[in-house]
Amino acid sequence: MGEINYLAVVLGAVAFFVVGMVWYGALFGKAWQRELWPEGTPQSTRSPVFLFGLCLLAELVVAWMFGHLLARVQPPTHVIWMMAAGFGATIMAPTIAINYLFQQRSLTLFLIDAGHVTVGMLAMGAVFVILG
Amino acid sequence: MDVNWLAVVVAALAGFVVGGVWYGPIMGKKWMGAVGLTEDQIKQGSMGLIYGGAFAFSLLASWTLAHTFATYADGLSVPVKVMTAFGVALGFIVPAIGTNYLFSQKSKTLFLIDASYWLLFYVAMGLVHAYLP
Repeated sequence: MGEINYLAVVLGAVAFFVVGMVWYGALFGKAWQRELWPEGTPQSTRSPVFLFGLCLLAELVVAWMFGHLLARVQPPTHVIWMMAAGFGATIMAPTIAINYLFQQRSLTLFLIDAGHVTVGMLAMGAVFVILG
Repeated sequence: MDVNWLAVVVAALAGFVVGGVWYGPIMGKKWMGAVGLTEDQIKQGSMGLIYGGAFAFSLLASWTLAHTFATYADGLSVPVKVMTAFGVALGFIVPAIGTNYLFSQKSKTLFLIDASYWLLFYVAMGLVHAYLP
């Protein structure tokens, strides 16, 4: 069992976070708000520091778990990519899909959110690949 | 790529059964309140699409877990495999839906109901895959 690469954990979480900013900002922000709140976005009662802080913390948990897995398995580079994509697209995305099916959410909202976790995981995986 | 397909199906079914109990007698009413759906709205949903789609995605998740175990956890004991499945849910799924619900301004109640379900779902799947490698 190898050591967890903590630098990659932190930077991987940051990469995931940046993907989220772009994804729910410039790329799909408008579409996402329209799907969730057709009548207009309600004012959030939470402070942005709390929201984004908790978000980064959650992504640190994901990156730490990923780093822990890589340290145990010590896979070759192409497998790191596959694991990152696989955990995004076939673990996280199905969860979102099943939740949304029962919540009667739209396909568009599912695609936006599932796309986010898949691309976010790939960005995080890229950091682990680069930092070895 | 060698997975036990019987286990893939049985584990997905196990997750489904846990869901039926969790979102039925245990948390059904609370969940409806937290999501903001009425019984009529739920009845209007296409049951074939909802349950069929949910089962298809459960199969996908079950296959991924089986594949991960077959590739990396060969020879691990049953408790360690169940712990690993639990860890996958705790480390990947709970944070993912947590941030999702946070930004879509869902209630903490809904998050706790759904997050607990996913932990149970993965423990159930982990048990099946551990006993049917």
